[in-house]
Amino acid sequence: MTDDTPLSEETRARFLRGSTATLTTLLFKRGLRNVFMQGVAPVDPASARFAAPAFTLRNIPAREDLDGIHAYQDYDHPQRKAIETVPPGHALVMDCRGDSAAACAGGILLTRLKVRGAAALVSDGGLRDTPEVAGLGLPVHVAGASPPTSLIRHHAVGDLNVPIGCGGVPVYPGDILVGDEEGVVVVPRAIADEVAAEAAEMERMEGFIQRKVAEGAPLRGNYPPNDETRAEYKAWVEAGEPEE
Amino acid sequence: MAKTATPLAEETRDRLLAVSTATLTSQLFKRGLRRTFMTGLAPIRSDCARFAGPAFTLRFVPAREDIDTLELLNADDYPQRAAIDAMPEGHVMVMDCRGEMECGPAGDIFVRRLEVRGAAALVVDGAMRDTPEIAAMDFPVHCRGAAAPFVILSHHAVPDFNQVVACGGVAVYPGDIVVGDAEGVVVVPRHLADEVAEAGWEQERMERFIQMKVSVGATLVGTYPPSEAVLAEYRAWVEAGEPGELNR
Repeated sequence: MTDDTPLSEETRARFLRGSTATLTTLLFKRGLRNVFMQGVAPVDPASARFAAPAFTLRNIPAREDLDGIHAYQDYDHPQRKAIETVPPGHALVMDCRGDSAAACAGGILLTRLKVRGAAALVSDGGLRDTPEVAGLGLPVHVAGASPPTSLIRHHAVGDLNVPIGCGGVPVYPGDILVGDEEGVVVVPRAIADEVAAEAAEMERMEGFIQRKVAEGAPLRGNYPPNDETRAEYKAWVEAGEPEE
Repeated sequence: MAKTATPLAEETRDRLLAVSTATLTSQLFKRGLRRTFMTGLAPIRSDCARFAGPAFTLRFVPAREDIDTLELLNADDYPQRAAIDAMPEGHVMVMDCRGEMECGPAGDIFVRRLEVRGAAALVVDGAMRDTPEIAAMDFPVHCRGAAAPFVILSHHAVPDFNQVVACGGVAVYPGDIVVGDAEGVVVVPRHLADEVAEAGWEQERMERFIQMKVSVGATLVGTYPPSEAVLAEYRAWVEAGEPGELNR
């Protein structure tokens, strides 16, 4: 299932300019309805945006005799291993089964993740050290603040980078995750380039329509645009997208 | 990942079948294990047969419309079919459906096949379909409820089956002993199965004695939990061959 095709700089830049709202609509047009993670939000809306291939870590419920505090003495604990092996430019995605009663990571691990050049952390579990993480400049999307250590609820599974669920959405290794201030959307790798290109165009047209509506244009004829408005839009694009 | 091939001893299995899930959770709690009972699952039949067997697992992630098609479902190597044919006799199939209730990962034909292949039970962290037909079978099935649509509506079976999974909030390692009764399902870590079966069986014998005493008027104080005097009385009762005991 893993698609290792690197994400082109052009596609990445297009995703970073667009919104997750636009992407969900474009994916819906292609028959994909379940693409936006439920219950997952940015810790710091000022550093919410990213677009990157997924590298996954799966968690199952903790068991007291296996997941004691000693588990973290092991440098090869799968959670540590995931942080140290996620390729630069990738988003680390953790499946916590939507259980936010404990953290999936904290300040030190995320600092390491940032220094290693990862693009983001995404999890449907909780996060500790959120005040510190908010100032890190690394896009982090989680289910909320949750100081208790992950061992209380989660057992990280050693087999890294397998298909998972996160926020109710399937995530296959290599899928493109896009985050913004609203949350995270999953774009199947095979259609990432075409969706990004269409998103850039849709955003440009919506910018034009937004301006018209702000100046008093009614929805009818403008949103969705009729032929007349489309012609007007085309002329505006050809004129170099003037501000007024 | 704890894939033990140690077979379950016949004696351990017999004892686990005679011990309630309630007793087992207490015995596991005594050994430091607090999350052992699957939350939110119940047997399709309230008079569900008891079962005890090693776990054989299948994991699902959420479905995706372009992947989870009829073509995938109908392929001979579809992971559900592959898993059921790979599962050894006497095992309990545990399906991690993330608690999702939109569809049933299996129905009556699948259950019949499990029964014919000698499986001990089916345990599903989600819904089941064809529940009226399944309710008419003797094969024990525990799940969260009923849903008519079929599996690919919201589940994608992961081909790499028999890995560690979550079910009802409990960790399930392949080979762990899964025990079910009319209350639900408890997971006993494989390495604790023999001692928990023994201790559970002993606890149930003492509870039968205490139950008899309470029935004839003994107060809870001094009896439950038993005082030294009641313990001595209990030991004498055991040595005398457990006279007048209730049905085991």
